[in-house]
Amino acid sequence: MDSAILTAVLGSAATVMIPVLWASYGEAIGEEAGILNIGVEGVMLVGAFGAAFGLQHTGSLSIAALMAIPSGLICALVLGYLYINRGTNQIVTGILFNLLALGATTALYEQYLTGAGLINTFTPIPLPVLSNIPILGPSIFTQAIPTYAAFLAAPVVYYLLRHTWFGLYLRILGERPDAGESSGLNVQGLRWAAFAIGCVLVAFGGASLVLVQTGGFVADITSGQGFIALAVVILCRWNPLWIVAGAALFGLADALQFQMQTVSQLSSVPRDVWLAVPYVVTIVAVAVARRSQYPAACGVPYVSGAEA
Amino acid sequence: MLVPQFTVAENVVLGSKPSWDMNLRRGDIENDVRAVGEKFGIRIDPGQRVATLPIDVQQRVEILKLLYRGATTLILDEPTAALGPAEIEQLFVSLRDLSASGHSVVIITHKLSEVMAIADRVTVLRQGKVVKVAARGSFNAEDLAVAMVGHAIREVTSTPRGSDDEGATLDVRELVVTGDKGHVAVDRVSFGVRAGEIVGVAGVEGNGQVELAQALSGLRRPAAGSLVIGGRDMTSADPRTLHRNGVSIITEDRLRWDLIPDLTVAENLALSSVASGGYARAGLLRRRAMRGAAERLMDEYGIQPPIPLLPAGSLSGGNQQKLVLARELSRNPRVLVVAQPTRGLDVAASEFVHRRLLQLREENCAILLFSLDLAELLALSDRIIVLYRGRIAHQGDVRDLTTTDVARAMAGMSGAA
Amino acid sequence: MSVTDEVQPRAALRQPSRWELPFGSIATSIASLLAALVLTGIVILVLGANPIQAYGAILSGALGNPYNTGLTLMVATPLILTGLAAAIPFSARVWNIGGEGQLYAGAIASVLVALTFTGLGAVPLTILSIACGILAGGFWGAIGGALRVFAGANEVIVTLMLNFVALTVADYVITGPWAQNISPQTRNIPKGVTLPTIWPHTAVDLGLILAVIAAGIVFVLMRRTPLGLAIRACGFNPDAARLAGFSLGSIIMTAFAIGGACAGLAGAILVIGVNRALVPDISANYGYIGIAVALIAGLRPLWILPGALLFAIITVGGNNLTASSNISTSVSLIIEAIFVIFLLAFRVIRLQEATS
Repeated sequence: MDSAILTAVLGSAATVMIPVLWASYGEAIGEEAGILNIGVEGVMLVGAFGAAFGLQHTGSLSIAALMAIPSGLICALVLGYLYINRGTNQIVTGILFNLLALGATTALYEQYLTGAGLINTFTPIPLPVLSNIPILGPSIFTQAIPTYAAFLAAPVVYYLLRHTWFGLYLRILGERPDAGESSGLNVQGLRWAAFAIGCVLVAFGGASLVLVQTGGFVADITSGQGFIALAVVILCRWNPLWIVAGAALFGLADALQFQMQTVSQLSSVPRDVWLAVPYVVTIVAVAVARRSQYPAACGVPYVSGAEA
Repeated sequence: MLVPQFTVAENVVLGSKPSWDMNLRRGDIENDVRAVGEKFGIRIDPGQRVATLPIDVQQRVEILKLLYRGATTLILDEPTAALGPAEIEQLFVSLRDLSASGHSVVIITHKLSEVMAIADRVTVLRQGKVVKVAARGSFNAEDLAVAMVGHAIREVTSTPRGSDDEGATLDVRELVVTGDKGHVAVDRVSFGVRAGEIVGVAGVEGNGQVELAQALSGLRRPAAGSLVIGGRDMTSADPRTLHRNGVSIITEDRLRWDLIPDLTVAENLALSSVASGGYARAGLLRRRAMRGAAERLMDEYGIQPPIPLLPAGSLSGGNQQKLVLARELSRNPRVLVVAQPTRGLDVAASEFVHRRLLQLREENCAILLFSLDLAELLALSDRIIVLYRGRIAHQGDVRDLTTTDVARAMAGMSGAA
Repeated sequence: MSVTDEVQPRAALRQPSRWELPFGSIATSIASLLAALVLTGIVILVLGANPIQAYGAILSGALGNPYNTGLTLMVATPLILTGLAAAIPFSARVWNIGGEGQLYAGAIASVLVALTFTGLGAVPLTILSIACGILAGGFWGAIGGALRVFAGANEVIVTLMLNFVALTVADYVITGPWAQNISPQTRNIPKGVTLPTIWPHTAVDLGLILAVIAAGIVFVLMRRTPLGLAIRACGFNPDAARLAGFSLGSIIMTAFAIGGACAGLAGAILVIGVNRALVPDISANYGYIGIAVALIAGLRPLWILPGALLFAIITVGGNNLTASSNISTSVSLIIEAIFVIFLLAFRVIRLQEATS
């Protein structure tokens, strides 16, 4: 394969995978704590809108990026209340939230963001020595700051989940919340905390979609990437380090669909096949991998022993 | 309560540090846990996942957890439920050490052998009341056994059948059934139930009755052994096949297994027939026929209120049980497996159930009756089997048994008096 | 299948008995709808318009004149069918989120058949296309069911992913060998292959009748057949259903297949009726909105009819908003979503929890 094409593919893959990567971190944290948020797509969308809104009104990329925090927290408030306090069916609530987010962001976008908008993105920054490596240098090692941050976040999220007391507790809540409660843990409180953190990360995924790739917001800008995050999380068994690989797989498939036309052996394969690959892979993985089971208590609202 | 996917150390330290502590070192907590274990003589590898540990070791992890949190009083509820003799002995060694070092230990158990082995003091509860308190040296097994079951006066309300020479309709051979936790719940049990005979299964809750009943109901596949009904092998039969072969089943948890409270009474009564293809014509349900059958059954069994279209969940407990009885008995079964038929029922309803069962016996049905109510068993059964830890501890004709025999067998004292 | 403990207590699905209406309390439901309208009204205010005016625009946009009413009915048509597609498996306590993909599967199949078998007469070809659409939807649903039953796969993820697979297949069909030169769509289907208009001077075609008939059939199925009883039994209490002798696996498979077939019919109707071709975004999230419709109808097939109509009014009326005021049409999605979320939050709709 031509090295220019390879560079282009890798470079765009590394960029394109980032929103899914952030969203996967966030969703993994929530699911480990026992909350299956099908509404991850909606949270991403809200995060994207928040970033675009911030960008338009301040012109500052940093502030726009920080808008992910209030965006994520607002979503966490609504969804957390429904999931944790009201104990609604998580699947159905998530679907409805996606519709709500789609409607709300589209309406607000058409009102406030169309017209003269500031189009700006984080410029790619070449890393000092590494960007001189052939092929990898100009692609993987010349990326925007949020992209580098996303890769660096993997060990941080891993550490949070596996090497802190907070992480241990929330993972136990995802398996046997009653065991946690009988050991004195505050189930609701911990789940709220985990879910809020998760939503902020997911929102940041949406924000990076705007701030690194497109520069502005359009309706339904996420078009299913939140759902891909759901798939990545279950495929990669909730392990942040593997999640990087999983998100990379999707990024590659996405990037390939443009480039494959030029590769003679593969040009006869319709572009849509590449688009479908990630989803089919997920289906196969979920069907085949016996151990790809959600944490035992994930998706089930918890009724405290005191209330029951 | 342990979390199986996590390690021993993680389970033990659960809750001991605040959640905003960002520094969890696997090595440190494992060392801590190991140290506490050493101190109390409980040696388990803290890095192992609990799910991979055998039940008895899991038991000790639970104890270790209490000790790690600094408990000075330990309350253990049926701690030896899934333990073998050697493991029990080890547990007792640990407990004796604990009490020697100043801890207080309360064990809730029905196993007299253990009480005799380890208790300094014993309190016997029956039906929620304290009936006996004694210190070591002033009680023996006989006293305790009798205190546990009280004086169950056997009312001869039935004339037990003499021993026929007919073969058993329900024939269980060397049946082995695994429980939910992976332990052996039913351990090579063999018995038979003849037509026109009621065999009662006695035993304290948790000795394998539920698993045995489930194996005979097609809900739980036996790990080994055979189940033959009317000469046909039904070992791995599903419920539908059992129904078709004349087996009726009444479980001890009617709201979970026997009834669907949100469906109507008529639908519940017809449920297993519909599953086998009944009440259908040209793809549609014959609802009027269902309703008619329901009305007849409700009348025959006195189910109140006699409205077939009410949701079954709106009936009282007694009427719900009658509903289950009506459905299962109206099929004229050859074999009936019934558990706890009078649980939660008032006297009138219980008597009704008993009369029905005896009537069924007259009609030559082979009945296997599980009950925690010894009086009920003694009143209805022709023969009694006592289950203890998944094995038959005692069996015999009801006329040859005394209360004490049964009580001792239930409590694990082997051999009749 | 071994018996396992349930760790968590299960809240029961309260399907109403004959005398109860779908909602636990009519008052709470009406209050929820009003609350949704108020909340959205606030959003509209924020957007700089008059909520009363906006709602008036919605109503007139949906029902103001016969033509608009016709549009509303034509949006209600797929919503009825996707509502059924969700309601049947939900009644068995399995989560079919794949209505959107099953709809597309039906659309793809019907357009391909219509474009391929042009030798047939118009009417037979129409019937064949619709039939193939139904079968394709059923097949697409059955994939999800099969993976759940035989592989124990989480049906939420599987059906969700299948939605996207169906979308990419649709994209291929639209841009590939069957593409039309000018606009992004397939070639138009042959002229005679159509659903006749049943209300003159409007867009209302036979599809509406088909959808209503489907709802009637599903009603008979769920309430008057052994299969319906089996599905409901499985949904209320799978343990008891098992002991009674039902085969849970085949019940689940069938529920998915029938649900998928309904959604497939919606796709076929969209292709053969209004659009006359497979176009991108032929479905405006009908699959997902159908889930909401199924919920507010309490999973009851006949109540899905007014539920779909309500959401169609909101959706079509919403399209009128940009014309009369400066509000985005997406306001309709907001209203619909908030309404059902309130119903869920106030426990008017109560659903059993998912078990993996």
